[in-house]
Amino acid sequence: MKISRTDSRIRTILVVATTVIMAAAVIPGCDIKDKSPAYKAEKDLFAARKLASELTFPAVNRDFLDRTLTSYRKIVDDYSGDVGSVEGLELTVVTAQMELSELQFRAAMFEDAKTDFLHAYEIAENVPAARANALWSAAFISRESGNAPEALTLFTKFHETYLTGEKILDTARLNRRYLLTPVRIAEICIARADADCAKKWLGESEIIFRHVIRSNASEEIKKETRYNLVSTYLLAEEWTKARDTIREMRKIYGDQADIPSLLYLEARVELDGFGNIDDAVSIFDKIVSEHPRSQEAPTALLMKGNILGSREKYDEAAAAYNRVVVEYESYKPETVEAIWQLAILEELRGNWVEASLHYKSVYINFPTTIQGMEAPLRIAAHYRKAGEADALEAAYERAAEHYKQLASLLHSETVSIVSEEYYVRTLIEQERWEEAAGRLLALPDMYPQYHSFKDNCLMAASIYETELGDPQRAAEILLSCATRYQGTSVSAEAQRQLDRIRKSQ
Amino acid sequence: MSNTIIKGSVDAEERRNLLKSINSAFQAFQVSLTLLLGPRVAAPYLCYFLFQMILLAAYLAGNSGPLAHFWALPVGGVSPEHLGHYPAHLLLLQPILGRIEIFLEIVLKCIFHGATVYLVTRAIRRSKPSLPRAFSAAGRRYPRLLVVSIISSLAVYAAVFLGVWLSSGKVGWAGYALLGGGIVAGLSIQSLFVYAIPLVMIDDVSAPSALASGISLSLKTYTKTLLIVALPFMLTVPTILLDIKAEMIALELSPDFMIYNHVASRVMELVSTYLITASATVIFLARKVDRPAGTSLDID
Repeated sequence: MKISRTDSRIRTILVVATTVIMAAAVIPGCDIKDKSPAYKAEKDLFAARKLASELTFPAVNRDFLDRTLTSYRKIVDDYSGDVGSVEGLELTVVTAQMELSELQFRAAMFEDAKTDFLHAYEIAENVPAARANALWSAAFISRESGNAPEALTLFTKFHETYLTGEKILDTARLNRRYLLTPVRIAEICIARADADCAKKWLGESEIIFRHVIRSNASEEIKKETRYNLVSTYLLAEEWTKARDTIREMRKIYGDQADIPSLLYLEARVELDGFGNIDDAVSIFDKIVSEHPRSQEAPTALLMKGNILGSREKYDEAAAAYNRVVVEYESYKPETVEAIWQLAILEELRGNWVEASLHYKSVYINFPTTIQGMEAPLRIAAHYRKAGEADALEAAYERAAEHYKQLASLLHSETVSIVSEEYYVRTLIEQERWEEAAGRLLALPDMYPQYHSFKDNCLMAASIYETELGDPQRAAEILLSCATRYQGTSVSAEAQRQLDRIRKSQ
Repeated sequence: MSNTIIKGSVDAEERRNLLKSINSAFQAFQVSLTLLLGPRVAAPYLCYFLFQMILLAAYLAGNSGPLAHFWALPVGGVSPEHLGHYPAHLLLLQPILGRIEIFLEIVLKCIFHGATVYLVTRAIRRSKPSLPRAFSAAGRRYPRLLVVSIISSLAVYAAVFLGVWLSSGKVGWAGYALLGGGIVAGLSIQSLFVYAIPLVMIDDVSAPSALASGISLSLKTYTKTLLIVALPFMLTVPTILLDIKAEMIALELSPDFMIYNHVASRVMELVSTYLITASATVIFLARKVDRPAGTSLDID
């Protein structure tokens, strides 16, 4: 009887446990079984996004980043083949490709990001918003990476595809920055000193902006377009048109918070266009006195300081800079610029102790700014000019230590890369050629995602050839470089230099 | 007449002495759990649980075509196409299956309640319990069970929804108090109707009579009746709390969490429902046998 009761108990427990376990284990499997590839792709995309959301920038975990990028790539690779035959799959694949590219961009993998954006452009034929974004982003990265010809080609392609005729407004509604494409092209032309090209594209910008202002676009778009039109006139140095447009805007937006920025633009036109320095200073004063809490107020003080400094009115200039430091300390970029200008001012006045204290304040308090990077070398430059060898050596040691620390601390990868570049610059200024070349050659492996370091081998070879008088080692470096980066412009240049060295031998 | 006097004095004593009520309620739980040694007693609710799992599997497996139209019916503003997407399909699991199950709870589950009451009664009376006979007995009484189920469910849901409605838009303790008040009112109302199904199944009375007598009996034994409803309900509190934040947890961890949460909720519901029904039946049957005040439940 006891055995029978025990059997019964065990049976009951088994029945209940089996039912529950079956439910828990088998039921979730029903979710993915026989689901369409579109559903499975969405599930994979969700998982990839989950990984991406766990990534912390700027101090990104490389292994985790690679896993995330692989997840996105796998979606594109696994499902691209079914895009034509499965409804809804294209959007997921394009989204994965776009998010992959954006992630690479955030991780400073600019070359990879550009390549993947261009791939997104190719595959997003039926996803217009993503297609436009992909092309524009690729062009933007090319420009930021200093590849002007490619940026020009891509921006021009964008203009032809999205900014002609009736497409302008639709494109503006997708993203208002797209309207700036002709301005970006003009900027590239200006950087290449191609005046005709710049004129042509600035003219095209004016046509597009005027079209939008006349259209039935929203007031928000129109207002931004008017600002862009002013920027176009400033770039084209059409000062009268710029001043007229600003004054027209002051009438339209007179009761809004735009007045300080319009006043600032007007002051710049008076200063840069008509050379009315006193009028410009008076407008800058007006911004500070009437709109002291505006974003433009500290910038206006900086501008006033620069004008007064250039007129050798050092005390008044210093007063303007000091006011920024004291009254606008929460405006970080303006504050660091004010301290930087104070340092230059004191150096001009021959007050090196004050100047060096300001430089030190800049690189200690704002190490990751461009002024913070420059400051240690500015101190060294002063001692070199003054011929103080011991002080110069100490300044370079401090600078090198500063850059090494910045590169190793948990700053963004961009800060680390810039610090490395400044460290190499310090070694070169110290004429520590072997160390500089060694560092140049080590950097591509330390930052494989930063493609600009590929060029380092050319510079290292040049150091060995010209500074160290070792063409044999230079040739070895160039050969390794040509082999490693085969098919790239770096490899071609390395091969050219190698041929030249071999001929000369 | 003497029976009524004796029972009345037991009820009065239990009402006066909370400890006695708790003791009686726990004895009812103990008997209910002991009855599980005969596995057939739990079979109706296990069948219902399996049915719920099949429903879940059908939802998970079929999220396109005509099935998607069916699933989209219970929730307004959701297109069937939306169910074909991940994670929307899993995030909508809770509202869709929740609403379908509320309907089934009213129109279908009453048969399983009736069958369980039948099997518990047979087990207590030491008769051979038969699952087909249990369902057959419940099936014959289905119209009365349905009426009882509709009225009691509407009353309970009305109390809970009133709490939810009053608490919506309220922040802080006021909101929690109103929501909690709604749940307490729902439990109190549920305890009023807990003897209605045993009355239909055992005494074979009409639905109005079962409701009236059930409420009367519940009021006489209110403390222990409330305890046999409230304590099993506590088992489901963790999964109810998870349900409240299920979507957020699913998006934070994995949308598959919705499936596991649903299964866990139904397991807790299975245990809790059995305890309530079996304990109510135990108490109801015990009252049919004379016992002097202060003695334990005499179910044999």
